[in-house]
Order: sequence, then C-alpha cells, then structure tokens
Amino acid sequence: MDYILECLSLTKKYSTVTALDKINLSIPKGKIIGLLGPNGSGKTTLIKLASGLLVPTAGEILVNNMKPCVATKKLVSYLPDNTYLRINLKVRDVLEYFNDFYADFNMDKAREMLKSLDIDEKRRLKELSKGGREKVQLILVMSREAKLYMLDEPIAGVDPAARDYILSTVVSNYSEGATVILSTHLLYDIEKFLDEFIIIKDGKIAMQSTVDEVREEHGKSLDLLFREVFKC
Amino acid sequence: MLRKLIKHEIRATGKIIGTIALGMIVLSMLAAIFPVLALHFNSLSDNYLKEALNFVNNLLFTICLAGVLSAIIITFIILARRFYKNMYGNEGYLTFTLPVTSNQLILSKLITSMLSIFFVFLAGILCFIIFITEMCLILSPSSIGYTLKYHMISNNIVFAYFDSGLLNALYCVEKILVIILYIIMILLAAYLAITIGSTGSSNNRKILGTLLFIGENIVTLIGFLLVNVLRAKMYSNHLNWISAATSEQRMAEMDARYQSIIHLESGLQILLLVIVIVVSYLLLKRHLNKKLNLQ
Repeated sequence: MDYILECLSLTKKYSTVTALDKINLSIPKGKIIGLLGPNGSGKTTLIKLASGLLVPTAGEILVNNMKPCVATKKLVSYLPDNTYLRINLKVRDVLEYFNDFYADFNMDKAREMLKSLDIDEKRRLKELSKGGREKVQLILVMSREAKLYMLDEPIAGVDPAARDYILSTVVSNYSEGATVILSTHLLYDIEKFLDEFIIIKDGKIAMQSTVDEVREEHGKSLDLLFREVFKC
Repeated sequence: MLRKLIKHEIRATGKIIGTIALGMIVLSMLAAIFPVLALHFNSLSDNYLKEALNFVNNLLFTICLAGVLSAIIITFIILARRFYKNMYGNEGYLTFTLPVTSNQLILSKLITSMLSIFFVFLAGILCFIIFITEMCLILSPSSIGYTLKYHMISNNIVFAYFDSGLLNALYCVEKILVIILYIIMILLAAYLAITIGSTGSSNNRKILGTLLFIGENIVTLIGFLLVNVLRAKMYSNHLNWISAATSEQRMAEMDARYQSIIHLESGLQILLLVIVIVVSYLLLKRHLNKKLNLQ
C-alpha cells in the first residue's frame, strides 16, 4: 500500500519531557484520519514534525517517502491551531501571498469560498472576528491541491455552527487522492467524517483503527470509546 | 522564490522604514531653525530670558539631532524585531512551512535589511543637505554659493587627504566595503542571537543568544584593534624610513609605501569581516536546518 506519512521509531523530546515515544505509524493516501488525544498527548508535535516545524530527537518521519524538506512542503498544507498571518494584512494580500509561494494554490476556489462567507477581500484581518480569521486561514489551506492536509485543532474554540462549516469545507474541498489528518479532542462533531482514527496517549499510539471497526468490535461510538480510554 | 520573499519582506517593512525616513527629514527641517533662533535670542537685553530661551532652544535642537542620528539604531531594532516575529513568533508557522530553502530565508531577510539601512542612510544624507541648505538660506541667501565641503565641513582630515592625493578611489571603495560588510556582520550576529535565543523556552537560551551577539561584536572589535595596531606599527616604520631616506628615494617610494599600508589595513579588515560573516551564516543555516524547534 502507498503511504503518505510514515513514522519509524519517531521520538521527540523537549528537554526532560518526551512528547512522542518511539512512534511507528503508517498513514495511507486518500483517507480522512482523526488524530485524537487529550491536551499534551503529542498530536501537535506529530503534526509539526510532519510539517517540518520540528526536528525529531530520534527516529524518522517520512512524507511521501521523503524526510521533511522543501519538496515535502510543496505537498503538505498545514493549518496551525492559532493565527499565523500578520493581522495588518488585507485578505487579498494573504491570497496573493499563498498564490506566490504555492504552485498548487487555487485562487478561484479561495475567492469563491470567501464570497460564500461574505468576507470582503479588501478587509484587513484585524477587522475580522477570531472566527472569521480562522475561516480565512482554513480557506487558504483548503484551496491548495495538496497531497496531505494537516489541520491542528481546526474546530477548537469555535461555535457549533462554525464547526459544521469548517468540517463540511474540509470534506468537500480536499483534493482527490489526498489525505486529511485532523487533530482534535472534540469527537462528537467529527466522527461521522472520519475514515480512520489514531489515538495518542502519553506520546504513544494507543489505538489505530477505522470508525466502523470500533462500532463492530466495541459496540459503541468513537466518542464513547475515547471517553473510556481517557477517563480521569 | 528569493525574489518573492524579498518582495513580501519589503511590503512588511517598507511602510515603517519610509515613516522613519520621513521623520528624519522633518526633524532636520526643524533642527535648522534653532541655530537661527539662537542668533535672535542672543540679541535680547534681558540676560535671564536670553539664557532660558537659549536653553530650551539648545534642548530642542539636540532632540532633533538625536532623533535623526538615532534613526539607524531604530531601524536596526525594527529589522531585528521583524526577524523575530516572522521567524519565531506565530508568523513562523507560515514562514517555515513555505517551500523555500533556509538560504533563501536568510538571504531575503539580509537583503531587505541592507536595502532598508541603505534607504535610511540616503535619507540621512538628504537630511544633512536640507539642514545645511536651510541654514544657508535663512542666515545668508547669498551663501548658498559656497562650496559646502570646504566651508561647512571644515578642517576635515579626509578632505585634506583628498587634496594631498594620498587617498584614492580604491581606498574609498575599500572603506565603503568595510562599512557594508560590518553592517552585514551586525545583522547576521543579531539573527543568530535571536535564533539561538528563541530555540526552546528556557531563559538560559535567551541569555546565551545575548552573550553570543555581544561576543561576536567584541571579537570583531578586537580584530579591528589588532589591525589598527599593526597599521600603527607599519606607519611608524614608514615614518622612520622617511626620515632616513634620501630625497630621491622619498620621491620614488613614499607614496607606494603609504598606499601599501592603507590597502593592507583595509584588506585585513575585509578578511576579518568576511570570516565572521561566513561563520555566522553557516551557524545560522545549520541551526535552521538541524535544530529548528518551533514550539
């Protein structure tokens, strides 16, 4: 099988804290994968390693059989969990920015999505609400024809209506054959969109399976299973 | 990709650099008024009032002058802050996921910073011209015909040397190159210090970054000092030679000997700066490639 992302004994330590501990993982192409776990479990660390923002302490991470480099950054579309755009910029400036650097950026698609949300391109990002800025970022990321979309907590801190919009945008706009990895701890909204899921606990893979298998084997939803695994 | 990075860097910093340049020009226009006011205040009969007005006048003049002169330092601070925010602030999540190499990232920051500093420097020269011209026009409209370099910048050794023919175009080019390389060195030292200080969250890294910046500058200054000591020694030998040489020997060799001293001095300064720049650049690139930890 063709894998878009592989982790081989991947370890990441921050001074004395081990965020990821000898992770072995293979993520296939063309799936929507939920990366699940509580805060501090290692989800963001894994996403950042794949995006080239962190360097592994040990082991290897491969994106499309390559270590993170300039070539993999052309394939990976990353959405962080905070605002990473300069808020003095106008929306059209950030569209131009993405269009300049990413050959796979679809300007028409981005403009269409902005129009559907009534976001004027001439407005500055600082004039938008927090939710508005997050939607702009999501539109920029999903307007790329990437091979791997890595979305870090895309629905955290937004209202239920915005969550539905974000999830439907993700599902309807990712390019064919691409993989989407969504990290979250809000399972109830996301479960119906996922093909597979990976549960990370204390820096290790606790479970990797499909949503259907969970229902068949455990007779419960993913949300309930998650609550059991991470019961305090 | 490098051109695009430079384009967006200029867009990000252009407005504020332009504002600094404009501020410098306004301050220099204001500053020219104060010496003229001082002439009028000096003609007042009330000594107390004269002293008070002169004090305020001198203070305002000093503030204007300080504002213009501090523009370069303010520019450096703004450029360093931009580097930090764009690389290690929230914007870093975008910067480091762009499909560009670390060379392109470093060069785009460096080239844009150099352009900004050059622009502020040009504004500084314009300020000087505005200041002198305004003073000439206010004090004596007919004085504008004076050759500025001999009457407004009087007793300047550089111009004395130009007149004597001991300095030449090559020496000027060397000195300009030394200044440019020194600015590049300062910028790279700042980038490296910021990079190391931003790696991880411990305060020790920040202290290490600061010490690295200071250390690099101290090493460079010590190097310059040693070059100056060498130059002084060689010049002393040259003077000894002059007093011992025959007039025919002095005619034939004096100029060449002096030229070799000043060119050797410049050459050593350039070599020292190139070494420091290359080491800083390689360390910075290595850190971006191997040690990046954007948390």
